[in-house]
Amino acid sequence: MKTAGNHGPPGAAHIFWLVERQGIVLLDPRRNRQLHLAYPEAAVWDLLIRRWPAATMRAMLAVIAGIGEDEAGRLIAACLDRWRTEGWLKEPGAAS
Amino acid sequence: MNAAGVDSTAADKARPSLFALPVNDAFLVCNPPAGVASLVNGPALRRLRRAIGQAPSAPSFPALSDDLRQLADLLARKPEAPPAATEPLHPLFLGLLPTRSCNIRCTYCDFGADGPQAAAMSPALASAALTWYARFLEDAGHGRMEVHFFGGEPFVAREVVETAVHRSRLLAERHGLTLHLEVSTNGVFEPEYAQFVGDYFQAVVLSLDGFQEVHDRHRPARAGRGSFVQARQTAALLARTPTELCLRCCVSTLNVHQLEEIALWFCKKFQPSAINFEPLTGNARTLAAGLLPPDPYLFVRQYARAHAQTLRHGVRPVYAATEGDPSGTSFCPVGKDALIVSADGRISSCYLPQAAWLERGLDLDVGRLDAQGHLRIDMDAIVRLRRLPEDKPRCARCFCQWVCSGGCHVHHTYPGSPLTYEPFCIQTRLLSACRLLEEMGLGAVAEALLNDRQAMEALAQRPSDLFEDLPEHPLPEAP
Repeated sequence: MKTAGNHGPPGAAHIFWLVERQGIVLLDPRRNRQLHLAYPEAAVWDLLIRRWPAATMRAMLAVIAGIGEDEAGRLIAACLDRWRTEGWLKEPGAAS
Repeated sequence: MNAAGVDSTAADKARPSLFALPVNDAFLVCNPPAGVASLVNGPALRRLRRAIGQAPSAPSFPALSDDLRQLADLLARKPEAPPAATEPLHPLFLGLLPTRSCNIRCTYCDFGADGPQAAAMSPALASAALTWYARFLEDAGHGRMEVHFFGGEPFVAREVVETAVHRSRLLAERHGLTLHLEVSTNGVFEPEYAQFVGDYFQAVVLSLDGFQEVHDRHRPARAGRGSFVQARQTAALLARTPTELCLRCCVSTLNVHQLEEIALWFCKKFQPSAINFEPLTGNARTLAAGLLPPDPYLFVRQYARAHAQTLRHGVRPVYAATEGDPSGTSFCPVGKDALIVSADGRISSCYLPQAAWLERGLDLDVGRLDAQGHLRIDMDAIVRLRRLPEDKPRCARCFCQWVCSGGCHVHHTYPGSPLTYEPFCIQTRLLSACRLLEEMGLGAVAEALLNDRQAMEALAQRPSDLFEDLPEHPLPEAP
């Protein structure tokens, strides 16, 4: 059977994610919730879980979103902040 | 206007559309652009010949019986005038060549993986091409954004591929386009990466040359080991993702006898959408490695068996030169406004290395993308390439000219190429005839043809299929 991506955790151990036609959907089965990420946030998630080095990730996101690298850096920071706050990513060093 | 209601000036300039060729002890008569084909015996062919030959402008053929008159009317239909070569740009797809580098060293590769063009494309260049393309599509009112990645091996240059994938998705969303991403790959990458490929690409063309012994001989890895284990693993992983998997199998003398087994294994193990069997294109490297293209008659017989096997499993078999509508354009992207961007910013309609087509006296460049992101398309070059299939002397009397149209302009029907049919032509002629017979429900006739080498040669090597070139008495009169 062919299934859409059902991926392991980039951060919190119980978070899964699916690549959709438009963006990415994060799934949290424990709390029965989901979060749709449109672009460019979807790209931030994908680059993050592929573990690109921070500088490369910033450069890639700048090209993807058509923005400067500084702005790309701020966008990444904002996404990380939000996803950690909302429990989609674990805090560095925290148990999942 | 002529009898079929077609402007006679345009029709007179059009390529021939009425053909007849021997199939065992009968004749296959066909008009490919009209979608008409029939298998007739000698007496019927003689009557058709006299009627059509003597009355080219008559609206119908009163001297014939009803059935033959209907057939003659259908066969005599003139093709619609082709679209003007000066129509606005309508790219078949945007191609990206992220790099010519490759992580394996295929014995038969002529894509320039070992050449000097191994630099990776800059992500900014890829983005500029994609941005132009999305805006162009929206402005032109086209809804489908189709982006193909070629190599080398594209996934050697992951930074540019991933950037281009996400940029394409962002642009498609922004411009309201339906995105189709396609990649041609050797499948030699770590298993975790297959999920990315399967998630983001709508279609993956993966090279797998059958079983391990032959695949590893065809496609050795750089360290001297084979690449089969990784390619097979990738195929199995991709089979579990939403992507459409097309397996491309290069056929040489080593695996031509295994096509049916390979087809069965592919269908059961990987459930692909399509299987493409592609005969080896010989070159100096393949010769040095002892790899030879298969005998074309043997290939056709073996392909026919594999073809039947794949159809039984609901998988689409592909032999590119017999695919597609009878539009008079080749399966090749050249002439269909394909825009393929190289790492150096050249835009071509061909994904082969520039040196390969320059060597054939062809210029397949159609534009340029500069470092500032300015893209320029040379419409004169586009129009010139659209007209390439019109000038194929070898194809002028071949019934395949409406679908095959000369195949690859670089390998098969380049300027000055021999006028005699080459193995590619022999395969294409036989498989095209079989396809017509099968479409008429005459699979048994096709099978009989393929079991008779003499009959195959009579069809494949016939210098002219033009109906008008039929001799007065193509078959003996019935007693």
